[in-house]
Amino acid sequence: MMQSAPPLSSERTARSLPRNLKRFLGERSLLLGAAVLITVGLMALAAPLVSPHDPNAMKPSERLSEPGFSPEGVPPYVFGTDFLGRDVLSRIIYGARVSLVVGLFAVLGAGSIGVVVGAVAGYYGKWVDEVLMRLVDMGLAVPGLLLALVIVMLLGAGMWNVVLVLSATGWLGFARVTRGVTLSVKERDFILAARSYGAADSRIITRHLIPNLIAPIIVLGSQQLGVFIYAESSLSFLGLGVPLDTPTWGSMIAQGRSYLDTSWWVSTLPGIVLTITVLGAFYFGDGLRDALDPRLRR
Amino acid sequence: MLLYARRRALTSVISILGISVIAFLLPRLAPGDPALVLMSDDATDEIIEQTREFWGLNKPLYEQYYVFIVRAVQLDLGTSLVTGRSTIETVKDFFPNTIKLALVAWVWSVVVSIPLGILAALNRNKVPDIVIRLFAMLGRGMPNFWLGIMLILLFAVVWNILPAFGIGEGFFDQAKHLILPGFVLGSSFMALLVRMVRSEMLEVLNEDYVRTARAKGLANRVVIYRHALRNALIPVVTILGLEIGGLIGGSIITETVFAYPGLGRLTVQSIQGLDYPMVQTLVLIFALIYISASFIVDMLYGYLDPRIRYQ
Amino acid sequence: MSLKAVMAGSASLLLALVVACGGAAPAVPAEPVVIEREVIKEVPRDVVVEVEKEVIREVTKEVPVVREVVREAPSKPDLRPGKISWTSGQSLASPDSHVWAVGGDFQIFRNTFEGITQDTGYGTSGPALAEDWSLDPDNLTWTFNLRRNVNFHNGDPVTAEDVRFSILRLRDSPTGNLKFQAGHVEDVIVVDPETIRLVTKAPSPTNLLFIDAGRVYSAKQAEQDGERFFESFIGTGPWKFDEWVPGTKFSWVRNDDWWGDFADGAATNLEHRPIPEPATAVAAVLSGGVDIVIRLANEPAEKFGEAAGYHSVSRPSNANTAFCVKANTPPFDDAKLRLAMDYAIDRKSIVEDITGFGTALAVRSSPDSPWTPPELEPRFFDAERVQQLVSESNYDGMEFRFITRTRRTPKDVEIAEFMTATWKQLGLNATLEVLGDAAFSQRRRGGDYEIFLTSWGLTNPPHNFNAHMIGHQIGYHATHPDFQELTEAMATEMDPGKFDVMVQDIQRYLYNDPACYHIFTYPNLYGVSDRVQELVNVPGEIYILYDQTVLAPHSRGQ
Repeated sequence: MMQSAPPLSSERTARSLPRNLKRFLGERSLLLGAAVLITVGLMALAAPLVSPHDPNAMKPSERLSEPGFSPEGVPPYVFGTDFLGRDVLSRIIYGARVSLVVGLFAVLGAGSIGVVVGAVAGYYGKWVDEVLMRLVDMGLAVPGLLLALVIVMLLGAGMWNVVLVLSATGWLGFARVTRGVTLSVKERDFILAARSYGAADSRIITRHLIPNLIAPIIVLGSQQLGVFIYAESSLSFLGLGVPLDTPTWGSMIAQGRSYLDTSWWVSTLPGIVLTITVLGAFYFGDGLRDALDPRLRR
Repeated sequence: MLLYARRRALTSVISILGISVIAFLLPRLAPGDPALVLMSDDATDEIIEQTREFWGLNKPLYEQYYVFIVRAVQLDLGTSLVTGRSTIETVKDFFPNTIKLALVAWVWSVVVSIPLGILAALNRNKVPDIVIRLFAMLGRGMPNFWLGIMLILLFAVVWNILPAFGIGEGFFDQAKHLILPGFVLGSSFMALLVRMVRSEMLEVLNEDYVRTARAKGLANRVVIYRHALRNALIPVVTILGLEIGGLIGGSIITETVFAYPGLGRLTVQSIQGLDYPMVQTLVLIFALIYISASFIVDMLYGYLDPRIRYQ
Repeated sequence: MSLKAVMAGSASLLLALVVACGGAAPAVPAEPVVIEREVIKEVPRDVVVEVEKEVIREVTKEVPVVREVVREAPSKPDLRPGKISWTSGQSLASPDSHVWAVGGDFQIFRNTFEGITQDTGYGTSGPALAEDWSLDPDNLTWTFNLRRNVNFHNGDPVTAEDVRFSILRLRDSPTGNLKFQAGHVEDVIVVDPETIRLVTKAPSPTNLLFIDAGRVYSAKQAEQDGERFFESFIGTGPWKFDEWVPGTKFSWVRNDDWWGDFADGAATNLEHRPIPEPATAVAAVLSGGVDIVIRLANEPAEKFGEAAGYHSVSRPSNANTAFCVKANTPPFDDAKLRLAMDYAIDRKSIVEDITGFGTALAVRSSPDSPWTPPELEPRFFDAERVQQLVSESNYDGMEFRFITRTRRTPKDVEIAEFMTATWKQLGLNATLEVLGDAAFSQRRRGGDYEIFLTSWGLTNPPHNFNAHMIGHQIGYHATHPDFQELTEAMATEMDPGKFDVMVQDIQRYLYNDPACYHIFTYPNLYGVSDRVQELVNVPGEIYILYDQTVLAPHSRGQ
């Protein structure tokens, strides 16, 4: 579930970002991914405005109505209704909020842990590096989902617990990438020179290390966003996701699966939206990496 | 080389020890009382107390850990709280099934992804690339359990050509039972591999020696197979080894959907049953599988590429 | 712009559509070959019952040709003639039938083992390994005459020693949730090889009901095989243990030496296949891998009704979905709030729409049960009443922790979700948590909840109303001296007529001051391959129909 993204041949600097706008615009995956993510983001932000129904309003007598079902006096149920007679479309729209919040905060959490651990390990080297990398090894040795299950078993379900679980299992990739970048930055001549005349660590970190980290971390982060949104649905399937009072894509797909062969829309439509979003995040990450890595551009 | 092997062996042992602490501690951090798990809703306090004593849950934590480690070394990790059977024995029952499933998933994803990755790289940003990448991405973006149920509905119920669940008896029957779960389990690995092969190929195709070879007028095919592919596959091979561990982790969902009696399903059952000894054993087993796989891969890699040993 | 996205979408959609359409496709109307028959006769309680024997009958050639063509598929691995297989979510957890850790194990044990009595429904017991029995005038000493010439599956004869060993083992086992069923036993005395005398600590009207849990093992074999002797599954039941592959199957062969009579056409082999994922379990039957899937929701049951080569069976059960509040701590220590909760359940929507089957309940017994006070009606949803009662109570808007467990019954999670949302609209805030069985028990026992929803058997009042049980579950009624008095009196009342009256009194008490709310009872739906001609629950012969009927042993199939 939570493999780290493929290695980045990165450390192109962030300073080239604005200068190469054209290059970014030329990267179709990047644009496509960005478009998907922006759409989903807007959908989440404007949920109360764009959703035709109250996502939690139930009408048991109209449960499992087909997409397009249009009773008098209310907006049509474009995506049909679920097993309690709630509007699937509205729940998807509101679900975007939770899925994105879970995904983004997990990326933030995992990213912060990973970057700090990776940077410290790479920068200070020696036994610090040794200890931290053993820690990463240990983390890698336990399948992410297994660890997530065990943690949820301990903490119980809950949106923030899911964020915590994903952060706790997802930081390893960030740590590895950061360490790699840090090591290579550290070896460069100008850094060696700067250190030799006594430049402060903090200055080296803020002036040299961080700018070099931004790009690969954004690339990895956007890919992990996809991974985390996906992971939330796996947890829901195992009954360990976000509690049911909040609509999430994961729980919609998971709960609707019992109706897959009779009322396909309940599970399939949120499934499609989730898949598109996850793909969007992957495309965005891939596109960004390609755009940042001119060697791949012939 | 020997020095390198020793160093790697040492770090492996450290990892395993670290994980044994985690494995031991995690379930015990849980709120509540494992003795209660065994009881139905109507047990009296007296029965609960007896149960606690029966399972030795009254001793201090460090004593429990000492017992745990000593037993672990003797390959005796206690008995399941739910079934009363030895956890190692139980793992032995389920382990081969998971290995079979992981191998099927592994083989199909490798066989499919390498040509697809190359094809995509050679046609960068053209139709084949776009289609292949989409296909690969779908493998990672579609929830596995949903994909699994869909395939069951199609192949077992609608077309009735493949079994819906479980493992078979005899070679062909077993093989048939492995197709759907193997496909589902391998799908996300396939996606990862396609992406890797593609980007490694792209990178290698841009290396100076490949460009030189092409400039020298060597036929494209020769360049691709003789030079580019071989170099592109080195990092891929690493992932191949490491991902056996990842696949076994991925089996948690797949095996649950397909009622496939492997470690993944055992994991879900044990976690739902708050079966502490079982969960501990499984965490250790998963870690052992991963650590030994990565040790072997590193050894091979170090053997193939001497530079590695000195890093 | 989002061409790829559209492609991705349509690909999935296509897949879904194919499934949706294809799933409905084989709708060749099925001849109603199946005769559903009520098997267990309505009988007065506590009379030794004569049960009409029926069996799951095998059809090999009587299936119409159309169906054979439709279902002539290459992958039918396990369908040798004479074998019946069924699937449920749980695999055998504990091999010790005196422990019984998980619900699904029950069927497996019932097929393999027998006690001296067996339940025949609704609090009635019939003979099993004991042929008949008598009770001394002191109401404490029971004499059981054992059936003669009964052998264990390994050929050893069953003796009074074995019975004594088994009942006392159950009583004294350190773990096990069946232990309480022998808690009333003072001693078991071997009179002669065919007679035992069972002495209870106090008069026990439930002795015959409970003592069947003391499933009889061979004392001799236990001595030979040591501590884990039960793993060889040697019992006396109609089905002889064949093979157990953990997580995969548990299988039996017919025990032709069984003391009872098998009906003609009875299966010769029996197999249980655990499939945790309900969607897969349904598919397993529809693809021919298994014959019977138990406990369906109404949607898949309809699908079985439509699919050629399959049918669905609806069997009455005593399953009851209910929820309880923790009534001994705020805010549910307030009687008004507790009463409000009863009016806040939309039983009608639950029965008619969400589940599509069942009967709303007032108390924990079905409307036609002798234990249901005839004047009591289920309370129906009344928002105004709820709001009024809540405003008169001391409820301050606190967030209830509402716990339930995964897939105990087909739709309990949906019901819980529905109720949570309904309560929210009424200003009663609850957070729903769906837990695994073990986590649920732990939370419940730890008092880590305000409300829990569960499913349990309807008709075991001596068990249900026992002060100790209520004390554990709610910790509330047990503290009421008058309630305690009622239950204690009932627990030792040996006169059946008086017993019923007492139970009704307790029901009224619980209805007027509720702490548990009985939502509805519903039939059990099964999806069945047409290979199986008749699916009926036959006490003593075959236990596939796992449901609360069999689970909470004391029931009758209405």
